[in-house]
Amino acid sequence: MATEFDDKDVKNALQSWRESAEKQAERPEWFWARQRARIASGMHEPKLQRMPVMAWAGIAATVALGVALMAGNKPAGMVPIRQQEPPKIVMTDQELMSELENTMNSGVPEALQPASTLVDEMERAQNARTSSKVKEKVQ
Amino acid sequence: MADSVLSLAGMQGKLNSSVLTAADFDELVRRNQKRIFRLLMALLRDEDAADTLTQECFLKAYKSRESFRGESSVDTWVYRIAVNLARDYQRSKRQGFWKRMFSATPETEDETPLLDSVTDGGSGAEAQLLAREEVDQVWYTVRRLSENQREVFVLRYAEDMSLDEIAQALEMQVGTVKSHLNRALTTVRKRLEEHRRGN
Repeated sequence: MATEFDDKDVKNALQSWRESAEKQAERPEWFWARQRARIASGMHEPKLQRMPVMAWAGIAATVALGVALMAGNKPAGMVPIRQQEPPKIVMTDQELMSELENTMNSGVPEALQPASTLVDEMERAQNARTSSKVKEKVQ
Repeated sequence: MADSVLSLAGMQGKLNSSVLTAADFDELVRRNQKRIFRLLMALLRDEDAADTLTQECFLKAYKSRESFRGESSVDTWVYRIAVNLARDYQRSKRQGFWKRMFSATPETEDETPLLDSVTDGGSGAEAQLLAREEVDQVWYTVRRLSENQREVFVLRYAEDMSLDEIAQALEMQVGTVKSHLNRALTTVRKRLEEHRRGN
């Protein structure tokens, strides 16, 4: 195998490379006809102005601003719902005292009956202890 | 190349006066489409890209025909458009590298050897195989040249353009073209020598 690589070898290699470049670009006639048809069709297309990126950014910013404003402001024509305050009860001091007395004198609510019974029992036990101590002192 | 330049002298005049009809342009396409496709194939090694960019090249030429100043031949002007499109394509391809890295699509770079494309010169099987391998080595090296070196090399050795024509097509000084060509040739030669020593 030769190891020298002279100018003739380079020339031959380049010639072979050129042939391979030509061969790889060979295509059937229909390929060229299709390509020409596509070019012709592109020539008759209306020239569309592409919107520059900045224009798209401007549109996006405007939309975002609009959305933000709509979210911040209440739409026109809609009445905000006001939370209704509880009716004010006007009561004189005398009426208040009377109401309190009634509540105190009224029976214990059903839900508090067990607690009421317990308190009664504790009071009774306390009274019983006190009376027995008094009796012992008397004796 | 010189013949086509002369035959396109009338076309050049029409381009300058902006009265190029669709029929005139069809003639320009017919004369150049195979060369432009071949150039783009040699630069990109991608059939779809070469086909699309060939179409784009002529459409761009048609749409910007009023900007043609007649400082070079129509052919050279079309070559310049094609080379610029190839540059843009390769740059966008490089920019999309990371995107492709993380996508499921595999790299479609065509590194297929072109063993069948070399004709048998009547030499022995061993010599024929060596010649085929050397062609592959040239393709391999061309793909790895710098952008300017690759363009100059392809225009010179695949398209057989003169140094002046290459300088006009690439908008370079002739001296710069020579410099790029020398560097490209040195690299190709070195690669071929290494390959032969390896055998």
